[in-house]
Amino acid sequence: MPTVDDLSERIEFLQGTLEVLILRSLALGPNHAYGISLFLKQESDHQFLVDNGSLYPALQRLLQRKWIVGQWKTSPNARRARYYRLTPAGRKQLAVATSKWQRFVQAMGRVLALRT
Amino acid sequence: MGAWWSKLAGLFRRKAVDDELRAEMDAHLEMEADAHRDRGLSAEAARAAAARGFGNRTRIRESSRDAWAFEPIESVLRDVRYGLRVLRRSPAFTITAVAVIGLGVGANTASFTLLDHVLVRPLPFAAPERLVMLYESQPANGIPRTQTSPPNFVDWRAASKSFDVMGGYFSILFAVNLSGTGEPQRLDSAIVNAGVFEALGVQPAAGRVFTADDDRVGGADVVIISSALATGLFGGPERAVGQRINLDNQAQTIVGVMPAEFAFPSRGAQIWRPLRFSPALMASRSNHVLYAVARLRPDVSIDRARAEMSVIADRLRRAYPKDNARTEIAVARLRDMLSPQSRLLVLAMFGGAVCLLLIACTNLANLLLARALARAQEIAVRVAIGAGRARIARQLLVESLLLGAAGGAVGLLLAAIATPLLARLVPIALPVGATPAIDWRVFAFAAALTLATCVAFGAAPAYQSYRAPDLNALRSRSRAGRRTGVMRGALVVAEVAGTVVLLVAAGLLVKALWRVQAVDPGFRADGVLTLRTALPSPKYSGPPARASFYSRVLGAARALPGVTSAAYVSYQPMEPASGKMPVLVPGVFDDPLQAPSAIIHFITPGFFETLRVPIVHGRDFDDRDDEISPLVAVISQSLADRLWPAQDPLGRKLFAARAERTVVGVARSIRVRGIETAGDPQIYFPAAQLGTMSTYYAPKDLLVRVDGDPLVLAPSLTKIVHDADAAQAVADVRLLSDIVGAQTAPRRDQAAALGAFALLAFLLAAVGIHGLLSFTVSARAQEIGVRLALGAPRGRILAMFLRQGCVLGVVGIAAAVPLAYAAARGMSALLFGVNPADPAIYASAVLVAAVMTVVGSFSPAFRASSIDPNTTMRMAE
Repeated sequence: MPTVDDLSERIEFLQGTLEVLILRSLALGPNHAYGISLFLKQESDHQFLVDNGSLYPALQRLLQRKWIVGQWKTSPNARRARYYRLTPAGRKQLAVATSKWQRFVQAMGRVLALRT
Repeated sequence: MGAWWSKLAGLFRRKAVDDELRAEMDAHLEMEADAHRDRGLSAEAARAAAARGFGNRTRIRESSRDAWAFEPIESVLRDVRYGLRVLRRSPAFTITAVAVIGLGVGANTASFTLLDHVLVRPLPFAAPERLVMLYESQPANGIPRTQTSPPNFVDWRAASKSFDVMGGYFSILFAVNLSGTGEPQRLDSAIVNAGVFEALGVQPAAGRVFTADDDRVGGADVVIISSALATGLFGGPERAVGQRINLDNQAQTIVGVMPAEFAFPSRGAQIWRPLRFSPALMASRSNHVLYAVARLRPDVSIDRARAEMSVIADRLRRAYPKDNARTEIAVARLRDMLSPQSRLLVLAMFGGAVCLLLIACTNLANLLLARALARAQEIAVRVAIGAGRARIARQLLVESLLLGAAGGAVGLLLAAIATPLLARLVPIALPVGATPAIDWRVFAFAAALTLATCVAFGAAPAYQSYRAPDLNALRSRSRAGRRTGVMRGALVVAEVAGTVVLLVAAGLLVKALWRVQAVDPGFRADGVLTLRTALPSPKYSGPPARASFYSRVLGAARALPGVTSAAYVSYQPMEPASGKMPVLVPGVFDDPLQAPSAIIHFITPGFFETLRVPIVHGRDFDDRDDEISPLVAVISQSLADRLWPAQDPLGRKLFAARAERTVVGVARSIRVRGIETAGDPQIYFPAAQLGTMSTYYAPKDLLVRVDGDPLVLAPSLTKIVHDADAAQAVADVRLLSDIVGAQTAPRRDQAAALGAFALLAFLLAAVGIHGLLSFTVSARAQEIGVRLALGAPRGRILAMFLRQGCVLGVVGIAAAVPLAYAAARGMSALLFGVNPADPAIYASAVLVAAVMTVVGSFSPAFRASSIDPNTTMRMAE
């Protein structure tokens, strides 16, 4: 069994991070909750382990803000699943959040890289 | 607005969202299981692994739904439903808790409503804080407040500058015959001048109040009536104005109707007649008949008014040394008319209610603490299956609020029932309406206090047990009780103490009641029927008219079967209206200010026989004591002792009731002004020798002693009076024993009210002890089982729990005794001389509390000793 469940290894999501990552994953195309969590795990090189207890509420918040919409479809391996896709508002939000996060990351990096 | 709609719509969409989430998660799990199967796990193992990795589905669904705005409303409804279910599941707890809250809230709301009505609330007049009463006082003679005379009143009013207006009125109500409108009625009337209405600032319900013109001697015959009377006679206030009614056979025009809540000078007044300072009224400065009510000018303090009145009093002393030599003027706020006893009584009731509320709260706290601990297990289970922390806290809060709300409703109901009962304690002398409305502020306060108790002792400990999850709680609750054991014990001690205090207070009042009931009034009241006729002045102002009326009525009454004697008297015993006057003895007591005063009665022959009052010296009056024979008097033994100590009073002269009279007899002393008032001596004069005294003193009360049931004779006596004079109304047909019994009625009410409080406290405390021990027994069932299995005798287990209860009882009782003594000292004015430290009462209260403790402890202790070790030990597995 993978050991990423170990709490000490996991990177805590900062407030609002998970929503941005979900929007980013949906920018590649519609996906269901399981698919989103797999995507984030793989793309983060197993640094992010998405807890369902965070994922589902985050999806509901995005639905409520009308940044994504859900639709029941049949998956490639013949399972019915609820696929989410970005709305135009969601796409706009992703752009805003991405630039914000990049500025944040650069700033963090610069400060942390200072010689002591 | 839009947000609101989406919330509301969301509420209805709740199920759809929930179903969708459920389906979505099912699909998610299937896909995850697929992945596990692809990695080679069996179908079953794959599903299990997926479920394990997924997390708590219920909690995820709940927190996902939290994202939607409908959550708060919807989940509160769910909490309420769940709370109701939980409360229904333990009916014994719920009923006890609701009853306890209800009692505390109800008793407090009712008694504080009374307190507020009598002591706190502004009187129902405009700017009541500026209203003052003016009295004469003679501090040198120990008379704090007494009536003034019309001439003094007129001088006060003319000389004072501190008041906007000053009104005068007769200190007592006068009964009048109302005739000409159906059945004749006797009603109480107040005699007031225009200044009274102006000072009080009251508006009539219809018509007008008196004006200065109505105060003029010889003014029109006008009256003001109460709205109850106006409605009864004419169908409403508006219709009554301008109508004419007959009062004591004189036609009067109704000029105004007072509103229903107007109760000045006191509650009984139904008719107001103008006070006119006729030459006869103005003749004497020693004619103490008036009270004065005045409105302070806005810029004048009561102290400045007092200073001014004291200057005026000084001037009157010098101008009229004969009557005013020692007279001061007392100025008091209208609110302070209430006697200290009445005030104390109301405070005692409130103290009792507060005590009860505290006991109720401690009991409630105890119940809730026990329950919270018992529920630690349930809560631990709910946490384990994923209940959110906020959810549990909210759930417990909702349950507490439900209990509080139900208890509050019960309390409101009790208050609505109890307030009219307690209102019987409202002193009659206060110028406020009879029945106070329930006070909502108090209700809110008492309800808030019990709610706070619910939350503090119900929700908080339960929540605590969640915050610091006791893993043991999941398995057993055996050790859970220890933490709050001390606190719960302290609560029981407080309950026992409160109960003892209330028991002592109630016991002392009951003993005072017994003592008052045991007082010998000096006359025999049983078997005596009394009734009253008015003898209105114009028709009966001449002595011959009265004499013939008396002889016709008394002759016919004595001829009735079963009647052994009959007499007429000016005001029967226990009637405060009977006059009190100085009795002068030439050469011994010449100064009216220093002479002893006596209650005066004008009587027909047969009075002493009818009341069974023995004449100890000399003779009774007889028919030869008429208006032309020498003036005579019978005095009471107490008056004889004052006037001529150790000497024979017979044949001596005294001056009383405006004439010199000779003492012909001495009668045993009786209590005339009230069963609790011993002090006033009595003096009696023949009815025929009224002389120049006002017809106010003409005998009007008929007393008839009957063998057998006196009430049977009531119709015959009424007929006899009507045969003598068809226009005479007969009123107040009563048994003298009822009149004497009514003297103790206020005491019975007091004792009953405090007794009820004490009984409730007793029950609550018994429930408290029983509840505490029951809980301890269940919590320690396993331990007891082990002890029994190891051979502990059952008697020892029984003794152990009994001891635990008794220790709490003893500590409570020990703490209570000094408190009870302090309370008893505070109310000693109500105790009619009963020692506030009466050992028998304390012993009884302690005994009752001890019995309560033992009885409350016995059943749980017995249950503990009969535990089956087999069962409890298995439970531990």
